Amino acid sequence: MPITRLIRHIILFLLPLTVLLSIAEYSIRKVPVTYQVKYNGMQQCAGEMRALVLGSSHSYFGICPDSLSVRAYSLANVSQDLTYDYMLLNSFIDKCNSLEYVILPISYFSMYERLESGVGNIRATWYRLYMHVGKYTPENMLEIANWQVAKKKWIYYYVHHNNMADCSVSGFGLAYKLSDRAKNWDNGEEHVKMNTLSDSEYEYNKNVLNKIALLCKSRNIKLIMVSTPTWHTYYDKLNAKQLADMYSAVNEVCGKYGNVFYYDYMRDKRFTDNDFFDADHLSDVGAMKFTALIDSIIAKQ
Amino acid sequence: MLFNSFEFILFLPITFLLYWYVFKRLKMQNIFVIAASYLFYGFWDWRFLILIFITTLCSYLSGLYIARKTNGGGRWLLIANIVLNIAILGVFKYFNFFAENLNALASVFGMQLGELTINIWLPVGVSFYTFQALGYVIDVYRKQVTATHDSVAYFAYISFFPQLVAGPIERANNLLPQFTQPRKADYATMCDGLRQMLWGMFKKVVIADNCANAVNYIFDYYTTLSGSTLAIGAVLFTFQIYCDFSGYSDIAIGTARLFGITLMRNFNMPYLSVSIADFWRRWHISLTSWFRDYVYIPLGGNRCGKNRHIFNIAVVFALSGLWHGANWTYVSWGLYHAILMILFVLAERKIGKTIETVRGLPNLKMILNMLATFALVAVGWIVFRAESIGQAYEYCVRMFSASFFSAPSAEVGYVKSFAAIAILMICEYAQRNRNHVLDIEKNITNRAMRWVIYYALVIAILLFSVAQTKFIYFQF
Repeated sequence: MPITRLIRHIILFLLPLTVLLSIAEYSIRKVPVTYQVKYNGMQQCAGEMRALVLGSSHSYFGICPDSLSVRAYSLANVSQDLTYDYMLLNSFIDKCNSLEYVILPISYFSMYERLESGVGNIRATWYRLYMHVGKYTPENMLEIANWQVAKKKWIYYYVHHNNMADCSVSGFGLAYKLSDRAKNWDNGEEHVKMNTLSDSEYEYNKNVLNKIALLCKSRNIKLIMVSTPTWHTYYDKLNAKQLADMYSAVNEVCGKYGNVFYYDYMRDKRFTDNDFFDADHLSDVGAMKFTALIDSIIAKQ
Repeated sequence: MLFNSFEFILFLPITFLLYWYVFKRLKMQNIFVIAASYLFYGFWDWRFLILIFITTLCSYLSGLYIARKTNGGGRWLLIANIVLNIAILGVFKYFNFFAENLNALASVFGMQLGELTINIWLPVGVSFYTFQALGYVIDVYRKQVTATHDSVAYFAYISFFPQLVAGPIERANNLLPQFTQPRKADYATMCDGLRQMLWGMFKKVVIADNCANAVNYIFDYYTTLSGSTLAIGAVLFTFQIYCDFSGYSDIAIGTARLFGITLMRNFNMPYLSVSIADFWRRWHISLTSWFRDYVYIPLGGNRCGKNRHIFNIAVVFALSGLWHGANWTYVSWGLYHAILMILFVLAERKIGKTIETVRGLPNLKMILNMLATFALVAVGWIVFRAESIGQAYEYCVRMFSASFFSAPSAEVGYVKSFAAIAILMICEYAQRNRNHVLDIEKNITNRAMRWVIYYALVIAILLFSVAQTKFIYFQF
């Protein structure tokens, strides 16, 4: 039978390639990533946490759980949207017996963003593989299914010996040091352009925000929403409608549930030049300043 | 579903195994082909399926009715079918283009027509399957093809997934009979199909996608770059579009062979052409021959006066340009080639000796002819790639400025692309009398040696692949 013969030969041909790709998959999975570190961190100390930080790079690099006066952990990560915030909270909440505060940053893009439809959709694979949240799709079952990223990741770690799990034991991002800041860090216009999105996901995200608030309420947890400080070249250029939609969603949730509070530091003048790593991210210096503010909010609650 | 996607890696083996092992009867195989093809196509957007279903059904029924009318009554039905298909293309592909131009024209005369454009989705590959359906109905009318009563075979003929979204635009007399007769699995044919797929993937992933990075950069920043860098941009785009499209065709033809179906050749090493007429015998053969048979010859072809002949060439190339997209750049690209062809005809040149007849290396005259043809074609691609005619003009002016002779910009990474292009051209030249470059079974009888070549290509694909990109010709 010619087809059987063909299949036999294809299998024979693919065998060394399969071995090679399996080794590639195995070695890529061995690269320590923040997702894995955070998952393991939560497994170990979820029961002792009194505060949990969620959100995107704004909180990952902007709120340092070690500097809070209550025991805290950061599950925030780059490009993490509200959907993943909800999924992570939902998956760990049963283990968080002492949890009193959830700190959720609300950024200019939060109500319009979806991780899977943006440039960061590869991250859905990492959430699935290393944090066990999100949907199963053909693309997120294997690292090598996203070959370009897998290749880069392999080279980044094994050839250039760079660290891909650059976060503290409490999950705080360590990469945005003021000393490493680029000369052209003041990129407000560029970042606003990047973060100005279509409003097609607005209702969806509003619903997810409600679900987060409801989940917190059901466990008697206070949901503290914050907008992190940004530089004037950023906030001066924001799209009025997108910003208004953000405030409208936040106010709606605050008004609906008694356990939700919102603090807006987006235009806070106390944050100066050296507090920023770029136009919408805090540097390590700014993060300490901002964490102190969060701590005072927690103390007031 | 893209050929270079993870979904297709799963889809193809499953479809292949079910096709040969489960659906062994012809009818069942054809039904399965339709189901698999609709799944393949529906992956983009399920709504596209409605349009392809309507196009297929209308052309199938038209074929039957036209065949029944022996006294010429089928003519009106043929016209109705042509109008329907043109209307489908007109609405989905050209409506906004014509509306915008009408508006612009009206404003010249001081009239305001208001907002005429509509928000409509462009179904992937609509130009390909519409032309295939149209060709069938015309062939039935001309009695060059017998109208089929087998609706399942006909639906499989139009929707066959390997060639559905980017051709080759098949002809009923080649493809349709293959769906009405039992297919035989042939080991050598299927192996050759796999080899052709591998070569197509190499062209797409290693050459086209790598060229695309440099091309995008050069066309984005052409106002700041030297003439020599712009010339490199033009050359790289010339290879990008060829490797992208012919790579797709190779994968399509190779995939079809796995299912016991032979599709027509779509490219025959066009950058080894010795004249512009030779080029058009080798580039997108299925579309060129479609326009030749259904437009050029009915208009009178070359069997008429010189003026009429020139007119026929101009019409065919302008339509061919318009077929590629609703933009004046495509029409201009078509007209540019029309001018080149008209000059070729007026000079009373013949294609003469082509590359296939050469033993060993070509002589100097042939090399110069090939380079001249390549340069003319490359200039045409600038118009094709540009976003507007103004941009194409400005690009050409800057390219042919004094900085043409300066050193090209080192910012643009193109060394890897040129190395891959050199490999491509050497291989194509060496295999110029074969169906495709990896048709090597007769040249290299040692299987281990052949496998070394296959592995080398697979490793090149894995190592040199860049971000996954769509095939350019899907948009047409």
